[in-house]
Amino acid sequence: MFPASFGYVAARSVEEALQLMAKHGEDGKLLAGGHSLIPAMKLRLQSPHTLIDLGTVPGLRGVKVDGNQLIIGALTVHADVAASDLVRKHVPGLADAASLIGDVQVRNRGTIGGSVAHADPAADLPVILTALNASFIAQSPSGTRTVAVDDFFTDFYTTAMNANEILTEIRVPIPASGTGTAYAKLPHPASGYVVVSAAALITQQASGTCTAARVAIGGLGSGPIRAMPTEMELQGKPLTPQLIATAAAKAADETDPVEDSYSSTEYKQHVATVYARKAIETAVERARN
Amino acid sequence: MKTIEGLANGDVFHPVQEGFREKHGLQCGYCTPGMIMTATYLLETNPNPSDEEIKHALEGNICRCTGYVNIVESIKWAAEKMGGKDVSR
Repeated sequence: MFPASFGYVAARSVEEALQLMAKHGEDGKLLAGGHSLIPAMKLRLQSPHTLIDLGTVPGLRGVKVDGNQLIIGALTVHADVAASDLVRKHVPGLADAASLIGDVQVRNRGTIGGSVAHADPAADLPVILTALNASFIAQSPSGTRTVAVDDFFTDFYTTAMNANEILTEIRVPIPASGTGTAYAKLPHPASGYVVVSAAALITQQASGTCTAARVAIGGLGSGPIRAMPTEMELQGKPLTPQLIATAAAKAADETDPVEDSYSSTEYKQHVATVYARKAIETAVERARN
Repeated sequence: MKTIEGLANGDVFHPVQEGFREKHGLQCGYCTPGMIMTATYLLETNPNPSDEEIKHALEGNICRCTGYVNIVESIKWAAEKMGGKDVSR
């Protein structure tokens, strides 16, 4: 449980971190909160030669509003996301998800950018950020680009980011009025990681008709999965309990989760329908208030 | 960084330490430093937590002998003793 010996450099700016990445190449690894990377190093699953610490870069931490978007710095820790008044007001589903990550110690150190860039298939934030239609700002020596969440998580522990890019911001559209967001999770009893989770963003008119729905499921694949059949079922219809139940029952359609030592394929698919219903119900309730 | 060693003021226990004694919040003591430091952090940020908030804050601290009921009781005792005030030095 001791990591291989490694070097450490504290970056003072994103530009300096990019230069250090270019210098160290494959031997370098970016360090954010260290709550995935350090355990992996202790298990010798990762043995980077040099850690490039982003924790010393000013300006990457905090939540603010820019126009109709929430801008969350990549180094913002989960506890700050969960406690942020802006997050709780505009996208309470994200506060839910951040507050359900790991334990106090993890939430006080682990960062939103680190979690997203690590792209663990059992992580919480990719699921809610998919429902919220977030986007990600990646900075490289040649400039910055924006990647939409639906294009971001490409495989197990793999994102659309290039090796010469640093994730600097997570942008979350502030939902239209009449919108509710929610996250529901079945955690593994030992690790706290996601067995199955569901996130929902629901917009409804005063009449109760659903005008927009994004529903994402975690734990069923290599990353978050949009529950398209559920979304299509909800779209344009009055949000009655029967409709929500019918739509949620389709949450695991078109998925093929791999059985593991804790849960079977059938169990995961069934639980996904239950948690999808919980998330949609809470989102609808919040949309009405 | 503060650890359990620095929590008492000389011979005077911190209210959270007292609470664990008064409400039998420990047996073997293995998990106790983590429980007490987490509880102290909780009461510094939320002086009057509900049972649910206490349980949420303690997640990740595993006890295998006392059980969690007395630990929650200990922290409620400390919260009452502290009367919503920060008693850290």
